[in-house]
Amino acid sequence: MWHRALVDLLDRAKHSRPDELAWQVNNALGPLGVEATIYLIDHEQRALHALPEQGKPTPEPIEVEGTMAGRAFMTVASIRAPDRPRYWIAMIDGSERLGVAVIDCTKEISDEADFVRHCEVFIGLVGHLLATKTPYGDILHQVRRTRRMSPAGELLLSMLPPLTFSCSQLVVSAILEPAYDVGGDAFDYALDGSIARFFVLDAMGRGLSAALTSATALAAIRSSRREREDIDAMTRAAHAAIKSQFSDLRFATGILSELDTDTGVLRYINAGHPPAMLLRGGKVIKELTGGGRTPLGLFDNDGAAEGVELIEPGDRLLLYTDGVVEARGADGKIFGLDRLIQLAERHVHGTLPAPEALRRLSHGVIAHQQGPPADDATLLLVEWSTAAAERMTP
Amino acid sequence: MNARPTTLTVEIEQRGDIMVIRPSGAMDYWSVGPLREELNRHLVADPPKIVLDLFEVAYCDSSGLGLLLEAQRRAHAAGGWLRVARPHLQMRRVLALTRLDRYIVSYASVHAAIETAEAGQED
Repeated sequence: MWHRALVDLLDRAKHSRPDELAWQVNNALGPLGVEATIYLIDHEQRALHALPEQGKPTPEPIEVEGTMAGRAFMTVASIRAPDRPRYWIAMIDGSERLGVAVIDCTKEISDEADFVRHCEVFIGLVGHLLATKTPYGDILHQVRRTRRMSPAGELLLSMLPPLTFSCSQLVVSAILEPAYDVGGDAFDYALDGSIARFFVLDAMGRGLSAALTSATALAAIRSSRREREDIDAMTRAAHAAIKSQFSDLRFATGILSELDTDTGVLRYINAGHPPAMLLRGGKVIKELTGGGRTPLGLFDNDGAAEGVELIEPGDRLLLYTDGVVEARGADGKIFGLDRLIQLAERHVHGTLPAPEALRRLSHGVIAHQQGPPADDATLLLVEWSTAAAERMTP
Repeated sequence: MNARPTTLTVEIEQRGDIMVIRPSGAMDYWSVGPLREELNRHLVADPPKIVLDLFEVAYCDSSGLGLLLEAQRRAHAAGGWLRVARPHLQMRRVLALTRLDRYIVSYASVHAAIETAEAGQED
C-alpha cells in the first residue's frame, strides 16, 4: 500500500504546479486513510507555516518553541501525540530541514513503528519534491516568508546552497541573519570525494551594493573551484573579480578552506576575517589565526602562506562574520567574542543536530541585539564525524 | 528590531596647509555621510594633507574602514597624504584583524602624525 502511494505521488508530481503539491500529497495518501498537513519553516526559523491546500482552510502558523511540531523540527525526529493517532514528522530534503508534516490516520495502525517508518520515507519524498518544485512558482517562497525580502536578500538567497548538507564523513550547516535583508554575507560549500571545501564572505557595507560585491566574489570562487583550482587560486580569483568589476573602492573579508576528510588536514586562507574557532569535546580549544592576508579587492600580490591545522574526528569548526560578535545590546556594548565562545560551548556539542545548534546560537545573538540595526551575522559549522551525519535524519 | 541609527559629527581644525578632521561618534554604514562630505571637501586641496583624529570615534565598521581606505588612496593619488591618529582599541583591532595596519598606520598623537608626514616618512 505504501509503495503504491509513493509511486502514485511521484506520478502525480510530474505535472503538478508547486501550489498543487499539498493536494497531490493527500490524493496519494487517501487510500491509506492518512492525511498530511505540510508545514514549512520560515527564514528566521521561528515558526512553521502550513502550505495552503485547495478546498481546505489553511491552519494557523505553529511556533517552533514549546510545541510538538517544533520539537519534531528541532530534533529532526518523529513524535506521536499522547491522545490520538497524530504524528509530527520532521520534513527534510536530504539533510536540509524544510519543516514538519502533521500526519493524521483514520485507520487502525497495527504496527506503529512500521507505520512511522513509512511516514518518514513518504515525507522524505515530499521534502525532495518540494525542493524540486520550488523554482517553478512563488508559493513555496511565499509560505516561508513573514515579511518582504529585500532585493539584496533575493540576490544572495538565489546564489546560496541549501543551509545544511551531510554525508557519511561530515555535516556542514550555516545560518544567516537578518533573514530578509541580508546584504554582504555569503557562504558556500562543496563536497567532492574526500575533500570538503567551504567558505564564508562578508562584503563591505550593506544592502544591494554589498550583495553585489559578495555575489561577484562567490561566483569567482565557484568558477575557480569548478576548474579544480586550490584555495589560493580561488582567493586570487575573488580578489581580481571584485577589483576589476567595481570602480569604487570595495572589499570583502572571508575565509576559504578545504578539509581532507581522509586525513583531517585543514588548509585555509583568511582574508581579513575573524578567525575560525576549533571546538573539541564541547570546548573552544583555539582560534585558527594562520593564513592571513588583507581583504579581497584591495591589494594585489598579497598572498600569504596557507594556514594548516590537523583536526581530529569529532572536531567542529565554527566560522562566523563580524556581525555576530559586533551585535550591540541596549547598553551599546558589543556581543563580543567571549560571549560567542560561551554560547558556542553551550549549544555546539553533544547530540544536537548541527542546524539546530546554529539556530540556537544565532537566536542567542539576536536576543542580545538591541542597538543599531544589525549587520549581517552568519555562522557556518562543520562537524567532522560520522555520528553528526546520523543525527540529520529522522 | 530596535533600530537606533548611529550619528557622527565632524569638527575641523586647520594647521597651516594641514587639515585635522575630528569625527565624533560611530563611523559606520548609517553615519559616515558627514565624514565623507568633509573628506571630499579637503581631498581637493593641492596636495591634500589630512590627519584624521579618531579619538572620539567609538566604533568603526566595514563602511567606515572603506571610507578611510578610499580617502587615503585619493590623498596619495593627488600627491598628498592622509594619516590616522589616536584610534581606539576597537579600531586598532579591526585594522589588525584585516591586516590593514600595514597600510593604515596609527599614530599616537596628531602631532606625531604630522611630524612624520612632514619629515617625508612613508605611512
